[in-house]
This record gives sequence, structure tokens and C-alpha cells, in this order.
Amino acid sequence: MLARLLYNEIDPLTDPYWNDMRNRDHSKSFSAVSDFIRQNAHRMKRPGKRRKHITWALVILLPLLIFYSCTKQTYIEPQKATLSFTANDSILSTLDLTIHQFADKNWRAMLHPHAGSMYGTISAPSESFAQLKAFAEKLKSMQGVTELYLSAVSTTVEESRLSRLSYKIFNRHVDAKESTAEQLRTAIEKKLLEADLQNLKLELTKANGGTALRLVPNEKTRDFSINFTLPDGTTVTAVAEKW
Amino acid sequence: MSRTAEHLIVLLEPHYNSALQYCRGLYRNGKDAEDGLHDAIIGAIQHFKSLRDASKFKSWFFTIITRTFYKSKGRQAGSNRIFLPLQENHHALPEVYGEDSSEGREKILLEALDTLNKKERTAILLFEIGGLSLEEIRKIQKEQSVSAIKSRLSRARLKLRNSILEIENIKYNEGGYHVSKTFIQ
Repeated sequence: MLARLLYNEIDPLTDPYWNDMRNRDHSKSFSAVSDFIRQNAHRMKRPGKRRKHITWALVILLPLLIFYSCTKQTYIEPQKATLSFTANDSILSTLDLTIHQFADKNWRAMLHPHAGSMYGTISAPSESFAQLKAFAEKLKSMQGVTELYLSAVSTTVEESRLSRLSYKIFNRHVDAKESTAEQLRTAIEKKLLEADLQNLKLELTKANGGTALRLVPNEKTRDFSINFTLPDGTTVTAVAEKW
Repeated sequence: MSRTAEHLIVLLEPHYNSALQYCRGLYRNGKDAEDGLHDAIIGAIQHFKSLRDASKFKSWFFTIITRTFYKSKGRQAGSNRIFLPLQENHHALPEVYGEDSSEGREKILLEALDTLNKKERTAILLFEIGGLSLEEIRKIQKEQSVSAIKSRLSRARLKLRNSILEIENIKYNEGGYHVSKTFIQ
């Protein structure tokens, strides 16, 4: 009280109100509350029991979690899709218009006119595969398009769940191990031989820091479908149709 | 040291009355105050064994009452939620406040306390009713400095004073409670 007086904390207006509240006696109910405490004594918790449980749970779960998140898994990741086609030179403007209708900014289109016909290649990321397929369907319906090749490339990636999660969260790029051109050629030719498609001419070109492959059918082999995995884990699916 | 219910009762007895007064001041009506006290006592029973220093029992128990009050305010704020946690049965606690018998100046004070926010309300009640030091209030309210508590108390006093004057003026004009005019001037 003295301290409160010294610090001028007693307000002559409000203090009588506080005094009324302070003077209210509730102690009659103490014995009943004491009985209530005795009745509920079983609710007393042992101190630190919860912390012990959490520690034990962590000791058991943490190594399991580390093991689970760091074990390497094999995933197949689609990488890109390529559409190659041959068409008559006369439909260039229609073709150009159709490409502009379907293409998005991630597509790469190349058109090479040569002696009255035109050879075109469109590369798109794997996410646009459905759109590229729709574009291929549209080309099928166009007169003047003579050949159409649609291929999808996917890569087998071996990585831990943690790494994959960080890839998904931070969109971190994972590079698959790349094979040399010779390794690729040997592996592809072996696969072609196994599929009885040795008549296909294989072209490997270095582009954008990677290797692009192109299978060119000759007159005898027009329609083919092949699916194989390269030594670096890349899966190649190539379908060619002529109509 | 192994603590039992008897230890809790012994430690509670000297502070029982002020704890009940504090609890009554926190809540709008006697029923809510009883519910709050019930929860606080249950909390005290549950965590009593983790109380290290018996000399700090008072501020420990008042902290529990304050936290219970904050929680109940949080529950009120989220009362429009679709799913509400199941409440425990409160019938086991004996009636401590009885019928809401607060009258006269006490009733006016409770009305005026309603105009304060929860932190101002707890701070001023802890100081005036609980008799806790500024440092103890600082710890309960988890503030960085004592000066924050001082300014909170000063703000609360001013608000309370204005509210009391306003209520008294209305009551006086209505010919309700008779209040000594010396306090109003």
C-alpha cells in the first residue's frame, strides 16, 4: 500500500470501487473447493513425462525418417516430345497459322523448305505433350502433309525422396548422366537390330548441350514404332506413320 | 519433492480469496467466472508437480487463471466455427460465487472493466486485486519490459476512470445507485 501511495497509484475516484471488490469474502467455499481438489488428485501429471515421451518418439522416429527420406528411388521423368513432319510447300501459310494456333512459348519450331516440299521439326517440353499430340491430329487432317513422326523422350532418374521433394518445392533441375555419342549410337543400333528395324538411318547431332537423335526411315520401312531405354536411363519412344 | 493434493490445498489457502476476486473481475458474469476458475483449478492440479518453487505459487496460480481467461476469450472469438472442441463437464466444481450478487460499486467496476481489452483488464486486476508486482505481471503477460506494463496500467486506469464517471453519471441521473459526489468531482 505504501509503495502504491508513493508511486501515486491510488486513484481517489476508483479506489473505493477496488476496495469493495477486495473486501468481498469468498473464503466460505474453500472447504468445498479443497474437497474438489482431493477428488481430482488423480489428474496430477508426472513432471517431464510428456517431454520424455516426445524424446523417445524422436529417438525412434528420426532415424526411420532419415532412412526413408535418403533411400534412393528410381523415377521415370518425361523430358520432351518431338514432332517431325514433311509437307508440300504450297500449304506453308496454312501450316504457319496452325502452328501459331497451337504453339506456346516453350515450343521450338523449325521449317526447312527443300525442292517443293518442306521438312519441319517441333520440340516441346513434356508438359505440352498433350497439346503437341492435338497439333499432330490437326496435321493429320490437313491435305498436303505426307509424313508425321511423334516421339516422346523420358529419363530414368535415381534420386532420394528428400532430393525429389526439394526438386518439387524449389524446382531444382536434375541432370541425368549423359552418355557419349558413341555409346548412344552403339546402344541404339543394337536396339534397332533387336526390333528388326536395321533399315532406319540413325542421325545424332549435338545441340543445346545435349544430343538429339533422329531416326530416318527408308522407302521400305515407313511405319514403325519403337520403345527402348538408353544406357544413361533415357527412354525413347518413337512412332512413325505414313498415310 | 513429491507433491500431493494436500500440498496444493495448503499453498492455495492464503491466496484463495484474492484468486476468486481476480477470477470474478476477469469474467463478465459469475457463471463464466466459475467455469474459468474450474478450468484454472484443473490446470493447477495437472501441472502442480512441475511447480519447482513453492514460494512462487501465487504468481504461478494467477498465471494459470490468466491463461485460462485468454483461452476462453479465444474460444469466444472462434464461436462461429463449425466444429468446436468438446467441453468437459463442469458440474463437479462447487458453487463459489452463487447468484450474481455483485452490487453497488462492485457492479459498476465490473461494468467499467468490460470496456478494457483483455491485456489491460488482466494487468489492472493482477495489480489491484492480486497485488502482484510489476515484474510478476510482466512475466505473466510475457512482455519485454516493465515500462510496457506501467503504460498499460496507466492507460487502463484512465479508461476505467472515464467509464466509471460515465456509468455513474447515467446512474445518478436515472436515480439509481447513490454514489458519494466527492468521488465524482
